[in-house]
Amino acid sequence: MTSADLITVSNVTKTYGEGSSAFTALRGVDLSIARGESLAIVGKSGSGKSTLMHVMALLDTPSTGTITLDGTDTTRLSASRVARTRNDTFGFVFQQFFLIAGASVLDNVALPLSIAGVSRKERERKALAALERLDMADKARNRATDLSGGQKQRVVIARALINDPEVIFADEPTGNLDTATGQAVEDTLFTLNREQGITLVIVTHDPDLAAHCDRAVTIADGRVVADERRAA
Amino acid sequence: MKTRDLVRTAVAGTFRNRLRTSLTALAIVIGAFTLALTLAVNNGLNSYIDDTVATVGSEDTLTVTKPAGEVEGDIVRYDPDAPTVGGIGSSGSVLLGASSGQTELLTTDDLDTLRSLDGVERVHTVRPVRVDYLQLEDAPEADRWKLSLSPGIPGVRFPLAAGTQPDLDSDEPQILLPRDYVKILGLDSADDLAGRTLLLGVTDPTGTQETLTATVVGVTDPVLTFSTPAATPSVALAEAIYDIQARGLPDEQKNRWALAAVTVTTEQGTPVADSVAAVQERLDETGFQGRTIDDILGQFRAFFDAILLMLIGFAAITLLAGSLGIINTLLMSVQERTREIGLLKALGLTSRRVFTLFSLEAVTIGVLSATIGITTPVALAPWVNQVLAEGPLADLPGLQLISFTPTLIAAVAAVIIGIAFTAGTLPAIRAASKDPIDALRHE
Repeated sequence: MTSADLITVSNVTKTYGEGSSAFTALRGVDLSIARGESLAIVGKSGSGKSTLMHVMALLDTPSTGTITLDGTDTTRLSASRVARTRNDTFGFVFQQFFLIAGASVLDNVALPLSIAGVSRKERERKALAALERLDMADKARNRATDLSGGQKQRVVIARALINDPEVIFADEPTGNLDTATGQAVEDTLFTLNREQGITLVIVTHDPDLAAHCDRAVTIADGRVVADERRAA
Repeated sequence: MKTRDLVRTAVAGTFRNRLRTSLTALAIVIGAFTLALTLAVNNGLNSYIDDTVATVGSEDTLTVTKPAGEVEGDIVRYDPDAPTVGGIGSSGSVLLGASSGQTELLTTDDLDTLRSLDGVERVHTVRPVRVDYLQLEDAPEADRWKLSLSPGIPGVRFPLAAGTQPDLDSDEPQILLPRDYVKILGLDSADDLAGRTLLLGVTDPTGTQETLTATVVGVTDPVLTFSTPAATPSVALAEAIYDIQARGLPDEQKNRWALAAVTVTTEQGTPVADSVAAVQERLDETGFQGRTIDDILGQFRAFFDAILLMLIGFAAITLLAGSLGIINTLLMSVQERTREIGLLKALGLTSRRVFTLFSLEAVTIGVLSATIGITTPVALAPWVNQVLAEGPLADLPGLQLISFTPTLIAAVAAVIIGIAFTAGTLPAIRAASKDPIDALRHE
């Protein structure tokens, strides 16, 4: 563990349910993610890789063990502090996009700022800037549901970027896209990682995507079974 | 999230499914409409009672009677030893609380007691009078009609259709007749009756009938009371009638009064109601019963209040059904928007804010319903009042049946919005307690 570590997972277990129906998704995971790193979490479905991402992203709490973020033990934080951390430190990219139907592209991108209580003028300015970086500024006034899959995922990335996050958590970001579009989204993510030093945590079962990351951690049956770094 | 953004998001959320929201709101609109209308009618009736029956300066006046024995509730227990009233019937009116049979006539001693009572400034006496018939001076004998008399009390003003209020202290024999007699006496309008001279038939204790004349000084509009229309004689006329009625009786039987109106001494700095209450208590201790105009009107108000309560009950049932509609609609909405809620929470919206968001959606439905449900009766009221005043309520001039005040409107709106908020609590808790992970996984 070094001071450069942004997220440290220590001996984390996660069990759902109780008694005979109990299901253990994580069985003691230790993992450190350095600031600015791009990390792929790979594994079969049901391996626990999504659960690992959820506990690291503070969307879920571990049953035992701790998640340390930037030196702070997050299990001790209040619910509202955790919510604020997700809002201002993390960006999220989901496979199913999760855009608010009926709302404009601009409003969807500005949502994290709206939740943070930023004024309308300021968040529109930032949202437009984020959309411009993804060449989506001309779609700002469109309804989010009217876009193509690739356009939707770029809107989602713009939304993840708008708070200048330290970490972007991406759950199968290219899973719903064709190869060419997926490639473009992938390039966008790695460009952000390289140029802005945003830490990337990508859950995927696409070996090509995992191969592009600095490091790939393989999960099986709730344990880390491999931790490979790409040769520089 | 800023409050303004929360409100905007909530309003947008409410109108996402317009048909469903409209139907849900409609049920609350009906409840709001019923509630607003009921309270406005109650307000209209009460203002009418206050304006017409009331009374300039009469809040310091008590109508005093003497119960003929021990009073239980409003009924007097029969006492075989109590002095019976021979020959002379007491004829107070129901309105003034001196119905015959349950009260004893007042004696000279009683009046002295009343005059000596602490806090009593003036005692106005009313004779137990009765007339056999009335007849227009120049009318044939066949046109004779029965007539109830109701005593004039200082300070009580009657709603007039024509003429003036009677001068109780005048030496002239004056009488105030209800408007019901206009048609019966073959006249066209109240103005025709005012100023006419009447013949009144009075019987003395030996059974001989005599005739008195009196001038009709005024014609009264009906008041919302349940008593038969009664005429009010001036003191001079009442004494003249009584002179015949009690002729030849021994003084002991002759010096009797039906009731007395006691004017209470008012003191600077003390509320009139307090002085009146003090005298009322003293009257009670000395075996009398003193009632204010408000006590008497209270009985009529109680009747209207009972009807009002029933109507409010209907409004409450409608609002209950409506609030179940809100709960149902919002629960569906929460279910449908599970993923959206999950996203909002994942992006850092706190549970408390999610609760507020859905509560605001309920409040939006409440505000919408209250606006429609209250402005509709407010807008229709002048028209309905006019139609009623020209039609079924033409006999009650001055009655604005539907009467809104800003306070009433604000109170109804507050109740409706409060109900909507309460109904939204359950769905809002449901939304707030969603786990972002489960919500995002939800298909």
